[in-house]
Amino acid sequence: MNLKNIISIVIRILKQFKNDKRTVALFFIVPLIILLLLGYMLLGQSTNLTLGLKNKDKGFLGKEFSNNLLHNKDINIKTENINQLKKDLLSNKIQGYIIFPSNFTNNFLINHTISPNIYLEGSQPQEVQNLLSNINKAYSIKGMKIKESIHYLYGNSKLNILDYFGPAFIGIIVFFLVFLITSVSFLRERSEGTLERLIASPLSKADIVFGYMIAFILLSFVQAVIVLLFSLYVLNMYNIGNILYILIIEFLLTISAVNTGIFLSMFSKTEFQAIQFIPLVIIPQVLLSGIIFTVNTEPPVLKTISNILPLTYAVQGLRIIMIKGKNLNSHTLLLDIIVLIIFSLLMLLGAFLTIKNTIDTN
Amino acid sequence: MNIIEVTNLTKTFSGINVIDDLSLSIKKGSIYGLLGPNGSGKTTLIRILLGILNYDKGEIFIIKKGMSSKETLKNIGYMPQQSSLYQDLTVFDNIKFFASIYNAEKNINFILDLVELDEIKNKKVSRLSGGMKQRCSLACALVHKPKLLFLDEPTVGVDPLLRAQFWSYFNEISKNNDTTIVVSSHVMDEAEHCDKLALIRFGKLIAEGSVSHLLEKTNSNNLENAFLKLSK
Repeated sequence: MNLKNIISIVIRILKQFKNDKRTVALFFIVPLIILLLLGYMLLGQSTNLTLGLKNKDKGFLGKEFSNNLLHNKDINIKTENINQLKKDLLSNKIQGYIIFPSNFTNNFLINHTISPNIYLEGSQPQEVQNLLSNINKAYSIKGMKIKESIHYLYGNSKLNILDYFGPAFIGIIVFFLVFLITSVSFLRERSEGTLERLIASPLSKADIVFGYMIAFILLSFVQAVIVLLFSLYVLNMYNIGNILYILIIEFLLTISAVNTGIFLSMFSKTEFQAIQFIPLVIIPQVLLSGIIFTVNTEPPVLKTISNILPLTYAVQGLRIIMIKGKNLNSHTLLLDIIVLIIFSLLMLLGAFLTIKNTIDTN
Repeated sequence: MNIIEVTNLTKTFSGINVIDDLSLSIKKGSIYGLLGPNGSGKTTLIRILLGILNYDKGEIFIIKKGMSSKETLKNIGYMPQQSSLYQDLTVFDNIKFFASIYNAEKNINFILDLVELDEIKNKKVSRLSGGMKQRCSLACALVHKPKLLFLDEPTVGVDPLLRAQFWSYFNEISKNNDTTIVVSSHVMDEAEHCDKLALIRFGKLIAEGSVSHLLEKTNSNNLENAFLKLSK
């Protein structure tokens, strides 16, 4: 080992790094952007959990617990009649509601037992836990027996964290791998000169873009089916939806990812530079598309960004299919699919522009 | 009859004229050499003629149909400077792919014989030597028996024996198929294989004619001296 040689290599690498402005920028600025995003999200998260409340109890206990709930700053409380609460739960305006029945105080006085009726939206285990723990805080009398009657609109008490994150991960795995592989393959087509050969042939731009798209869709579709079967039958992920709809969402996500890959390859000259796009394309989507944090609780600025990311719609779509069992009658699912189609078309246009740009700037 | 006519062609990159008011004409069935040092604009000119690059001024006619339309490109073959092959495909699969673009699958065996790659047709391109890759690249450019063939520095990095073999292929194609060949080179002694030459420097055409005409015009005994005299 020779110290002088090692120093020569160190200096050479640092000089190369200094001369590659894009790498310098990505290396030092991207971590700050990601941390800023994360910090803003965590600190700026608003408490959007709303619990509906109906106190039918004539005694003191229902009144006392209702007051406790109303004074809890961690959740919003909405008092309404039962029909309205049912409607609000269906439209996700509230995440659950609690009813103190008319014999609530009497039961307590006779049996030392309280039996509130709790109705939960149920699709998000974190929200369920959060609501139940806040409800528990309201039970201010020690030593009583609690016999809650809990009803779930979607899912059940066994719905676990994997069941909630699973659909989102199916989305991100498909998007990320397809984006990465297409981006690098297309870049290789450019850097190895074969794209130039194709442009000088009778092939049209459409032939090239659609050729790429169909090949990767075929590959990705096989991948999507494997991922889905593994998730459902090996990991036993919760699914009450139609597998066909899951595949439709994955299919649209694949088209978006292929064309995003082609489009972004325009901005890189080497595979190394293409890999640098990963933190920029993937991490904000992981943070903002509702995979980890729910979009509803994001600060308004980030919510706007979330609303233009394709993964937001894919994740939402996959969750409402798998956990809520929705089909095309659901306006939300229909909107998710329409947005994914629009995004796919926009990225398709981007891919065409990329090939045109390759011709113009070669 | 001319197969290519270029009139007052200009192409600018970042304010610099890389092709500067260049005019030339290429006769059908001839071997036409674009000769000039590295960076003189030969590759840029070929790319413009193929429609890979746009140009700023001038007029181009190729096979009497204006600048390379997709219809025209069916009759054109192109061998770029770098081998430009799919490294993880075999020789056969590379040639087959380009043949399929031109509906010329029936020519695959003929072309494998011509470039003498039949025995190694099932080898992956990434495992071939530089010379074999060049032969495979030529095969991909020739598989559809084009009327017009652009060869961008086809013999760069090729040993003298293979270079001689390449020129024998080019002559064979030119004679047997009546294919017009436009070949760029910075090696002056290769120019002797061409029917007509364009000497290019800084994107300008400094002289055009046969080898004997250029030597006579400059009173030189070799093309290198002729090029130096014309460059002054």
